[in-house]
Amino acid sequence: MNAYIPILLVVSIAVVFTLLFVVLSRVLGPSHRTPGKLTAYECGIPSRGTTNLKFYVRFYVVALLFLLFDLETVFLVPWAVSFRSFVERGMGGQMFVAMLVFFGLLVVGLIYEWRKGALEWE
Amino acid sequence: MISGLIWFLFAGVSVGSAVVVATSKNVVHCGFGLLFTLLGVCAMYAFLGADFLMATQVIVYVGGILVLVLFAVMMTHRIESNRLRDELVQPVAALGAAALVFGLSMLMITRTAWDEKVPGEALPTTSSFGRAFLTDYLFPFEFASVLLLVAMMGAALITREKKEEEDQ
Amino acid sequence: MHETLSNLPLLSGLPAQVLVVLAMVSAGGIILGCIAVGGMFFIWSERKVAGYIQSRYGPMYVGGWHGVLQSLADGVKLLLKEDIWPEKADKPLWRMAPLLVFLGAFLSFVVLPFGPNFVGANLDIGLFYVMATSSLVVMGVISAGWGSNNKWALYGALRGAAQVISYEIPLGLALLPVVMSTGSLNLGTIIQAQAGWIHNWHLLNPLFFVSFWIYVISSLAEVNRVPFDLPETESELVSGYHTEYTGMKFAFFFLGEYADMFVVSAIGVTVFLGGWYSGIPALDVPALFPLIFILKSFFLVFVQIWLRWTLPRLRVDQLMYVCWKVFIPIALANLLLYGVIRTVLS
Repeated sequence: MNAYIPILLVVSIAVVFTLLFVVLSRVLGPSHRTPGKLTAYECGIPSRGTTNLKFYVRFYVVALLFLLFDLETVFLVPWAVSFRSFVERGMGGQMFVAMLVFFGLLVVGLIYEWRKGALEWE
Repeated sequence: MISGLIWFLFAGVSVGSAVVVATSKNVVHCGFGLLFTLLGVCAMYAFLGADFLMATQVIVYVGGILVLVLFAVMMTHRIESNRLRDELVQPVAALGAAALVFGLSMLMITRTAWDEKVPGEALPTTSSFGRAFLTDYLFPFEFASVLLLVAMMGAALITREKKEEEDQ
Repeated sequence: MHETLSNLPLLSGLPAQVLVVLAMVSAGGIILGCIAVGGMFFIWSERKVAGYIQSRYGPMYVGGWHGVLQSLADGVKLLLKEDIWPEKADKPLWRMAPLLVFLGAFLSFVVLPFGPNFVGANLDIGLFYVMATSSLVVMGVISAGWGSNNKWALYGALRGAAQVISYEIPLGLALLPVVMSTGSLNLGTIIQAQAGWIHNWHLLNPLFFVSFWIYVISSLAEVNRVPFDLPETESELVSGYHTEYTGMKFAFFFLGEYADMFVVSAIGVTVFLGGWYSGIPALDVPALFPLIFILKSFFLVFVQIWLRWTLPRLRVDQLMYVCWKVFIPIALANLLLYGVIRTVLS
């Protein structure tokens, strides 16, 4: 049977459980909504301006770099899984050279990022 | 019977949240709608026994691309006040394009000789991916790394431009 | 598991499908129970360890012996608290966030191998699957930060997301040499490769030893623990992305966080510390497997708690420096070295 069916079932149980408790807490807990309570808590100081702040662009660059390295990792995973069987069949050298090209380009990319200062966070 | 129901459940989740993505006027809500579309597709992969593809879908699309999209949306200054505008809707052109895409997809789906597989039957796929990468698909595999290298250089370039702007 | 159930006299007459569903429902119940009880236990032990490190007692009254029931009392308190939702919150996102964070932790719990036949779902891609579930936690954190409509929460969420995704790379790269050695992502297979005496544990292989430290430190960042607790820094961001949550919603964030601590520890135990094997073949009887596995994982959780009360917090630039300029190059070099050695040896 599909190994993911148990996960599906277990997840539905978790969702039901979570919703049940949140609703239960809503029912059991008191409800005295006062204006002060409903404002955003920013250290007790009245909230000013919009939440839509200007952010340091680095956060975006980190997400961008993550995406690229993540793809590399995803490509490396099947290679790592089949590495052993290739080595056992005596084809380790061949597959390793094939991987080395891929890996080498990744390292070149990393060095380039480093030299260009894309990894700095000031 | 049950497997059919489960399949349509996932399909419903994907399509339903895709509708949210298309119609919601709040950009962040669109992003989170996309999350459920992607998760629905990922569940369908799992259901078809494509386990490696399922995890890749989550790691790359949810963990990578969606985070990137949301970061971009959140960093756009005063995005809240910019509701997506409706007046640009061109129903005739949109319908035409949709019909065209639908027709082409249907044509492809019906014309292709698919490998038929029993749903729910799960075989390990990861090592066969590895084997395929290193034998039959070696060139595309290496080419992918070149592509990624170019993308990395592009990312570094974006950063550098930003930096020079800040310096000035 | 449904075979075991069908042997019970009370249930023997039922059809197989019903038994399978029953088995899964009970498995789900057991996992939920484990997370709830385990989470409460960790919260209690965190407070006790913190107390002893700071020369005080921590909780002492509730439940008699050393305040063991303190967390249970806190849970009841949280259940009875008022559920406040900020007026300006983006309600759908704000409500969804605790669910996403808790589900992320819960989903990885399902695949943890407590024993050869004692695992919720024995997936072929186990390790890769666990890496995927943390993406869900990232989405939960962003959803909480944006949905709260609070500057502090949003800043905490951005930091949290950037940190978790950054450290996912060294984490994944550190695990790959072990995958190369075992030829499988299945958690059970990885453990079985470490059977026998203690020297078979992956930790004691010099290259895997390097991986182990990268894994342990990156996993601290993955679960936002000190010294990587920047998303929650109580001295600057109030409480980070869960500032606006009260009552049960806050409880689910909290529980998810502690469940995540256990999950990363359990994966560390699985991959590097011999999983359910004790390291002494004579002690390896199936009945002891879950106990050994849980004890080892508890030890790593204890290390996380210990570090929290020992180390100061990193700055954001230091955090990124360590990830991109220290861990990723070391992990890549380690991976390459392992590949070279294995290829040359063959």
